[in-house]
Order: sequence, then C-alpha cells, then structure tokens
Amino acid sequence: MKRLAIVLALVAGCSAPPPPPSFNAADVMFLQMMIPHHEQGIEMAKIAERRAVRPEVKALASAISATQSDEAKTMTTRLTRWEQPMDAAPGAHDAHGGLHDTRPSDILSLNDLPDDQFDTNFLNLLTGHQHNAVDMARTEVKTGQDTATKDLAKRIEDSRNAQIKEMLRLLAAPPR
Amino acid sequence: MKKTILSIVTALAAVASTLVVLTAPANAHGYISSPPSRQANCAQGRVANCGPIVYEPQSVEGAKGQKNCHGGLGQFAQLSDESKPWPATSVGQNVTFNWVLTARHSTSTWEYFIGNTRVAVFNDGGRQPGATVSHNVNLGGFSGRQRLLAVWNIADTPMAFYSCVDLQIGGGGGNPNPTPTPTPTVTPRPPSPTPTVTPPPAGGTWRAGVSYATGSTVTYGGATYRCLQAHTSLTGWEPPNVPALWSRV
Repeated sequence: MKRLAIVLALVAGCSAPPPPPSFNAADVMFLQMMIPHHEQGIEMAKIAERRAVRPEVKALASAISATQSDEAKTMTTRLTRWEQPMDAAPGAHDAHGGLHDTRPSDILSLNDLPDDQFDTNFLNLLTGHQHNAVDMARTEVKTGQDTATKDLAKRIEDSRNAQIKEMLRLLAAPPR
Repeated sequence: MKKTILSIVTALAAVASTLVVLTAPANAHGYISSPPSRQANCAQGRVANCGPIVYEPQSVEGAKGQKNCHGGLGQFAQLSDESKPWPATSVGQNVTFNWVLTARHSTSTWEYFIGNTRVAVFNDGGRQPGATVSHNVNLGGFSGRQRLLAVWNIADTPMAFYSCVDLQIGGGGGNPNPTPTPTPTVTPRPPSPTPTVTPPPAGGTWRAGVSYATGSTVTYGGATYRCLQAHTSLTGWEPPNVPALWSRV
C-alpha cells in the first residue's frame, strides 16, 4: 500500500511532494561548508579576545567565539548522525574559485598587527567573513530540506547580519 | 523494492539540489567600511529606507568608468539620492579608507575621486588583494562637505565596485590648493548613534541591543534565563538559541 502511494506520487510528476528523507544534498553541503567556516571565525575571535584594544570589541569577540563553538558542535553532531562525511567531495566548491575563503595566513597575520591597527583590521576581516556566512545561510534557507538545519541557517543569517551592523557601528565610531 | 525507489528519489533530489547550490551566483565583493560609505551607513541602519542594499553592501558592482554611487544599478539607486540625510564624517586632509572584502578579485586599480578630480590612485598591477585593504589618501586641498567616490577596478572583468563616502573635511592649515567648492556648507555631524549601554533590566524581558552583565536575568518566551557571559544582545541571539550565553533558570 505504501509502495503504491510512492509509485503514484512518482507518476503524478514533479509537483508531488518528495518522500520524506529528512535532508537533502544542500543541507549536507551547507553543514560541510559552514563547519570549517565557523572554525575560522572562532579562530579570529579567539585572537581578538586576547588582542582587541577596545573592551566592546573584546566582548563581542568572546560572545561570537562562544556561540559559534556551540553551533559548530550542533552541526558536527548532525552530519555524524546523518552518516555523511565532514568534507565535501574534492572540487565540490570550485564554483566559488576560492575567492571567498579567508586564508589561514590572513587569520595568523592578525597576530602580527600593532595594537593601534588591530581592532580595525579584525573588524574588517570578520565583517567580510560574516557576509559570506550570510550568503551560505541564505542558500540553505532557499534550497535546504531539513527543518532544523534551515532554522539554524535562518538564525545564522539573522545573527550575522546583526553582528555586521554592530561591527560597522564600531568601525564608524572610533574610540576617543 | 520500496527502499530502491526511495533511494532513487533521494538521489535525484540530491542531484537537483546540488545543481542549485553549485550554480548559485557568487554575489560578493567589497565596500568601504570606514569612514563609513553610504552602503555601510545603510547596512548599519544609520540611514533609513535604503532598499535592498542593507543586506548586501558589498554588491555595488557595475561597468567600469562610472561616476555615480550606485554603479548604475536600479535596485541601489538610493545610494545616489542626494536628498537623503547622509551623515558626513569629520576628517583632516589625510584619510585612511578601510575596505571590507568578501571576494578577492585580482585588481587593476583603486581610484578615489572628489567631483571630477582623481585625488588618488593605487595600482595593484593585476594582483589579488589581501583579506582587508586600507589606503591612505591625501584629499588634495579639498575642504568642507564633499562626496568622495571610491572605485575598485577588477583586472579580469569589465566591472568595478563603487563606494561613496561623505566627508566633512576640516582645515588642514596652509593648503596649497584652496577649496574649489563654492560655499562650504557646514553640515553639523549628526550625533553618533548612542552606544547600547542600557543597564540590564532586572528580570525584564529580553531585548536586542542591550548590554547584559554576567549573572543578570531576563525572561523570554515565559522562561527565565541567567546571563553566562557579558555581551550586547543581538537578533538571532535570543536566550533559548544561544546556550553559551544564557542558561535557563
């Protein structure tokens, strides 16, 4: 009977609702791309927790590192539960040409900045990084299937947009 | 049998969505964050009713050679609307412009214009820029309120990215070139947005934009939460969503 229903659904054509595997390839790719992206953000934020000059920059960095660590754990657990690899097939992200990646050397170079240049460089680097997180999250909201993952993507989109706003405010209002 | 059909359907769905993901446009590039460009002021919410630019200040991409703030894109036309109350940043003759980049396109030049005068150009010779870019620009004796146009010219496409920055240029003292502006309109700098340092309402309802101290409590969705780590609250950081910041009491 169940089989009949599925066959009927197939015959009915593309408009039939898909049978319920709870996730699709877009969900998997979102998690595979977002986990390392989060880890880079955490790495930047941890450097800023140590090096930021303005207390409000330091507090923002600490909160970002704490919240993203939680999110990364949630995402890693989900991929494991789905029995999916942590890494996408080699070349799967080539459409991005590597243009959007923050390079490990960019993050490490934060360590070498003099104090008076640290906050501005950190905020600009992380703002660019979070704009790219927003793009990935929006793609997931549009093309993903798993409800919990789409909800997470929506929260990532919202909180990163709010962080960008806050960082632009900090950049526009230099310390006196 | 059922399993086979299901997995075929799943595989087809997977292929279809992979295609969607892979062909999504890489719509990300760059803009000036400080002194704040018009799109930065829009994204920050300091200027209202900017349209879709608030979600993608990095996307003002248009054909090279234009002299407007919106790259000729209809959806971003508000950026060239001079009737909007664009805040001007007070600066001296030497200004450092900082860029947020979300894609590192190989670059021919970065150009800075005031009116028709190109006050600075930086030639990258086709190199890829670093993760962030800063330029120190001498404003060439201009003074008073000015609209500076910055153009990032991409080396391997016919496109450029546009950012306008409104400046209130103070007297640098003894400038060789007196100001070519007619009447320097002295626009008072709008008050900078109040930093969000509201004292945490004890036991109040959680709100975004509040600076919460460790140990303070809020209610959200009928439950009470205690703050684990001092932070300024943001949309998307509602207590039940961020267990790193709030624990349910």
